[in-house]
Amino acid sequence: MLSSRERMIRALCLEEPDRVPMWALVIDNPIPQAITGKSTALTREAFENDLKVLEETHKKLGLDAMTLYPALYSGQEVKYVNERDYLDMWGAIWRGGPFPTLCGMMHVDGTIKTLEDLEKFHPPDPEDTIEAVKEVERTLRKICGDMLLIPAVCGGFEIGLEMRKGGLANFLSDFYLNPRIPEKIMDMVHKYNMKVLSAMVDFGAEAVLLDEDFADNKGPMISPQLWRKFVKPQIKDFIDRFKRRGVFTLMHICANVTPVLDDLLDMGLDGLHPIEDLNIPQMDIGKIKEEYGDRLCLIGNVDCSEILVSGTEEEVRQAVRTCIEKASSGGGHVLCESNSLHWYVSPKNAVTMYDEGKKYGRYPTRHQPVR
Amino acid sequence: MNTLIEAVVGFDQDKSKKAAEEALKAGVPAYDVIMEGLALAMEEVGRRYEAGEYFLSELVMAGISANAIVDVVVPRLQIEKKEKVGIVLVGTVEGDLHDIGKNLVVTLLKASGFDVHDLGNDVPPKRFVEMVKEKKPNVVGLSSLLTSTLPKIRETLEALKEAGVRETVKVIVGGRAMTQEMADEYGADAYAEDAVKGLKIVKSWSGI
Repeated sequence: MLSSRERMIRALCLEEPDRVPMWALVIDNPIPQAITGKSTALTREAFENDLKVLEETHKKLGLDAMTLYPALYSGQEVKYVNERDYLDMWGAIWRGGPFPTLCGMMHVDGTIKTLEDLEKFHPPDPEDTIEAVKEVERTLRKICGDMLLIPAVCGGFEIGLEMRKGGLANFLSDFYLNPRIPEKIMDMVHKYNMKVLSAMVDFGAEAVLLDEDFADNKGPMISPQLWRKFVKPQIKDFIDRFKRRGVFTLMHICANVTPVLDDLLDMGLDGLHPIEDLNIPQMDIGKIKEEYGDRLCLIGNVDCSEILVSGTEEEVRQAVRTCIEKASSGGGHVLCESNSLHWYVSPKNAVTMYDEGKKYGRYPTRHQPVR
Repeated sequence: MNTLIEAVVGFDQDKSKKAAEEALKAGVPAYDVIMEGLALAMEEVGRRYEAGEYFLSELVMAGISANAIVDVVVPRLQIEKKEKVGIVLVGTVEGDLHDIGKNLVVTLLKASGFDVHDLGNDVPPKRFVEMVKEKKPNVVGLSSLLTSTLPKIRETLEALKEAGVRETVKVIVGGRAMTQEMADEYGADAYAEDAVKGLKIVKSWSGI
């Protein structure tokens, strides 16, 4: 039997391991609480303890990889702007609660109104995050020896739309009216991210993930032409830089990426999460497998908007079986959710999902791939 | 009107505003500037979006030019006392702060001659009920991006029913978390997967 780490690596190499590896991009607090009796605190002081809680949660679910967003543990002070809203380290305002949570907060607005605001803005220091990681290095190396540890960072487009005053509408119009703003934000965030991820690779990570939500159901929120000018260069640098170090490069991109998927694969992307297909027929995981399965490891895509939230046990099991039938044949698939195990996902359904994945995901597959 | 249409489709906010001002100065009724100028421009923008030539950024840019025209023309509509195409109430449901889709729908509806009351975001069900009683709209649009706030769409529809006003309006729902199945389950009259489709449905209800 393969170790979790070996199983993930085989899948990322587009090979068949012993069974379909399993992962969750993000596991929010109700799930560790239900499974281990303990929660994560998402503070620098609690970093070591959080890693142990998450490690235990992952092992009990039978997961083969563990994500870590190191920026969450940088120790940046939370600044409240009013009774309920707080400012993050990139100048974005969030409405809090339920706390502590990775996905339960809501974006309210940004604080960057003009290019002058941006030029005066002090980006977070990656050294703070790297120092925080050094403090837990021993625990991280232990986890890396067992599961595949996947450090993750949020990309410049995602952070840009959060830090920009007026939110998404103003950020999108910036690409036409104030192009220096998205250009500068992309560059600033990219520099931070590359330093943090490089340090994580120094600590033993063998895969890295760029979380860059630039798409909606139609495709990229900016035209592919604008995307190639403003967003693609950072993605290319991310892929080139870590390929040179022999590290797998993964991306999380919600919704419809098909208009630029060839661009991503031509750059050498190894894996894509979550292959979200809600209301997006072009992103059906079977279709993506057929067209791109020889070039891309598919990571997904059991629905977490309805099925994992309120589905019956049989609905969850069927969703897992359908996903495996569509995506796992020949290897190159990691069973995962369609976005995250967020606050509203039922812990019971999460347990059921991975239980079915372990039972049904044995290689060689007993079933024929279906569309 | 061709200058106006080209300016909106090409996202030239200054030219769009100037074209509208010149049309009004030349005696073109404000209603015609909307229906035979701006509305046609937004139809072309919508066509390009559906064809995959325009993306969300282009819809936003066209919306900026459209709003520049709306700001100039709508005050004149009130002077001309022209009957509105219809009255629409729009809002993002309680607990949800996302509004880009909703704002695009508002622009498209205004650009097509509708009288639109935008309730903003995080709107509780009782506020929708109050405003339906006050403004007597033909259509109510509900938006929810988050899975967690989808139940508020159901609650809002139930609140309209309990207040005895549900049958007085058509309700259209949208937002990333919404699906046709959910819209049917909640009892909405229609579901729109994007702002352009939403406009088409509301126009069809108004006989345009």
